[in-house]
This record gives sequence, C-alpha cells and structure tokens, in this order.
Amino acid sequence: MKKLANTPAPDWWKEKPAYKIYYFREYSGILIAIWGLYWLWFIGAIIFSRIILAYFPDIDPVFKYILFIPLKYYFLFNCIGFIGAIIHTITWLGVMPEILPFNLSKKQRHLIFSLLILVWLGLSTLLFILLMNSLL
Amino acid sequence: MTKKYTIRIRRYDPQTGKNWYDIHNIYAERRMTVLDALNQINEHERAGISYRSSCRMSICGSCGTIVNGKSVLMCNTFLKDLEDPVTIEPLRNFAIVKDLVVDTDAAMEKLRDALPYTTFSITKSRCESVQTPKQLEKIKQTSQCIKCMLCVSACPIYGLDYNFMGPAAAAIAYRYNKDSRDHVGEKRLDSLTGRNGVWKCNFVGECSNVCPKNVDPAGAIQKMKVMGVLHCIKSALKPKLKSKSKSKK
Ligand code: SF4
Ligand code: FES
Repeated sequence: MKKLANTPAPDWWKEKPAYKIYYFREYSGILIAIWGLYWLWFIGAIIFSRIILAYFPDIDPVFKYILFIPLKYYFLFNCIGFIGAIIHTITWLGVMPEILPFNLSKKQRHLIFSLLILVWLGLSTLLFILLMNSLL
Repeated sequence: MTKKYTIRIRRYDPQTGKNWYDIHNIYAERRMTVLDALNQINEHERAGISYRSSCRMSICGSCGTIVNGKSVLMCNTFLKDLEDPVTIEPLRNFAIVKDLVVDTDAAMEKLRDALPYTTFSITKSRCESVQTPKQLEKIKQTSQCIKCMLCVSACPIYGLDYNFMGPAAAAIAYRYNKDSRDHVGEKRLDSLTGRNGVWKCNFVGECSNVCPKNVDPAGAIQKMKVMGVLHCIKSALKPKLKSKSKSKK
C-alpha cells in the first residue's frame, strides 16, 4: 500500500496570519543588519578618508563618491534601521511573556507585554533626553 | 433549522495512487459538528470516506484534520462557525494512508524520546507519592495533552525537518520535567537539548494557536530552552565543582 507524502507547499507562510507575523519578525532583523552595516561603513569611511585624503589628495572622484555614499543617504539608512528596530522590538516583546518560567493567563500576558512596552518607551525617552543634553 | 453546506473532502486512494476532492452537498443543523457531517455523508451517500474518530468529545485525539486551512478536531468544530464551502483535508506533515487517515507513527515515536514517565513509576516503591495542589498546578496545563498531533501538523519547522522532535513531544517533556515526583530531569534535558531538540524551534507559535486543550506547546518549548541553557551551564560547572570538592577533601 502506497502512502502519500503530505508536505507543506512552498508558499505555506502565506497561509495564516501567525506565519506572516513570524516572517515579519524574523525579516525585520535584516533591516537592522543593514543599518548596522551602514554604521560600520560610516565609521570606516571617516577613518579611511582621513588617511587617504592626507596622503593622496588628488584621489579618483568615483572612489570618493562611493566612499561617502553613507554620509549622503544617512536619513534613508536611519529610517530603515528605525523601522526594523521598532518592528523587531515590538514583536519580540510580544513573545517575551511566553518565555517566562511560570504559567500565566492571557490577561497577565497582555499586562506584562504592556508593561514591557512602557519600560521600553520610558528607557528610550530617558536615553534620548540624556543624549540631547550632552550634545547641546 | 437546517442549512445547506457544501463539503469538499480531499480523498486519496492508496491502491491507484489517485488524489482528488469529493464535493458533497448536505443539509445540516447548525449545531452539527464536522464529524457528524462526515458520518452523515458516509451513511446517506455511501461515500466510503475513511477517517478516524472515537470519543466524539475531544478526548481521544483521533479525529484531527485540517478544516478550512486550520488544524482542528472534527468533533469540536461546529458547522455554524465555519465558512461555506467547508474543505476537509488530512493533517499535514504526515504521510496519508487513505483519505483523511494519516500515519502519525514517527511523531508518536518522538514522544518516547521525551521519556514520558516519572522516576516514581519506575522505582518499585510501594509508598504513596504525595503531590500538593501547588505542585500539581505547575503541570496541570501541559498534562491536558491528548496527543492529537494537531500542533505537529501546524508546525512549519517540522514540515521542513522531520528530525525535529516537534511541539507535542516537547510539551510532554516539559510536563514530566516539572513534575515534583520526577528525578530523571537531567537525562531528559540531555536528549531535549540535543541536535534535534528544542533549539530547532523558531517560535512561529502556531502550535499553541491550534491546540484544542490549551496546552501551549510553544510556551513550553521556550521555557525548556531556558531550562536547557541553565542545564548546560550547570553541567559545564559541575566537573569543576566536583574536582574542587575533591581537592578540599
Ligand atoms: S499539545 Fe495540544 S495540539 Fe499538541 S498533541 Fe497535545 S493536545 Fe494535541
Ligand atoms: S473523536 Fe475523539 S477527539 Fe474527536
């Protein structure tokens, strides 16, 4: 008697909202990675340009252009990072109550989620104020 | 009050290898379950559809199928809650034996790896094993599992990698690890945090959504991950602690 394999279709993740949220959560990590790479490039470009411009003042303009791309599009890259960070943080805080080592009711889980969001917003604001104070 | 429902059933004939959808129109009362509808189709239309069922009250866990895309027990899914047409398919991630009957042996075998027993039951002690209500509370939720395998069917990770232990085995392992009468916890954690253990879980979370008994296998796996990390740290420190105590002696 033959048995028929019953494996998921290649587009299984489109089937249910829960699968989509999962993909949303995992792929928002890529946005953050792009932002991280951008910052690495940013710092690298500044250090590099100091050295290169000091020794080779008449360097190829194309190279210079490429080197300074991140400095030009900083707004775009920061937006990408910001969106990624917001999605990732909220979805991760959403699954956080599940990981706690005690059994919680749905209501308690929602409460913990809202508390975590409040703490996150509070800490972010505090950091923002401190940063602004030290910059200004 | 009866209403007309269109029921689409995925069929599979192992003799010919044919695979198709049957369409039946039935007049059903709104409080009828999907299982009742299938019984009615088989009785009145001689359709000869194969499916498993027994208790008709979500206890035996044998009537799991996918109805309108969601893994459910047919006996606790009412027609009135479903959109017409109602599509019934066999559980996913398992080989189909015939029509709606699937072969769950592989996943059942994985329950064995979770060592689903307490040490108390294997030590031949005759005395009572006392458990306080508070201790029972810890395992009450996960011990509701009826091994219906709906969670395994909803798990995309299991579909992509059949070596993964799956949510049902993990939930059961959690239940026995948290049992106050249990002392094989360490051994169980060794097998659970191995290559095919809980680390393969990516926390999609759909297993907990489909579980008919609110066992929350996804949550159990995440808690097991925390337990696994603590266990690893403990076992890494243990030889050192032992050698220290030896040198003290
Ligand atoms: S955990 Fe829930 S869905 Fe999974 S086998 Fe047990 S009862 Fe069924
Ligand atoms: S028939 Fe027993 S669970 Fe549905």
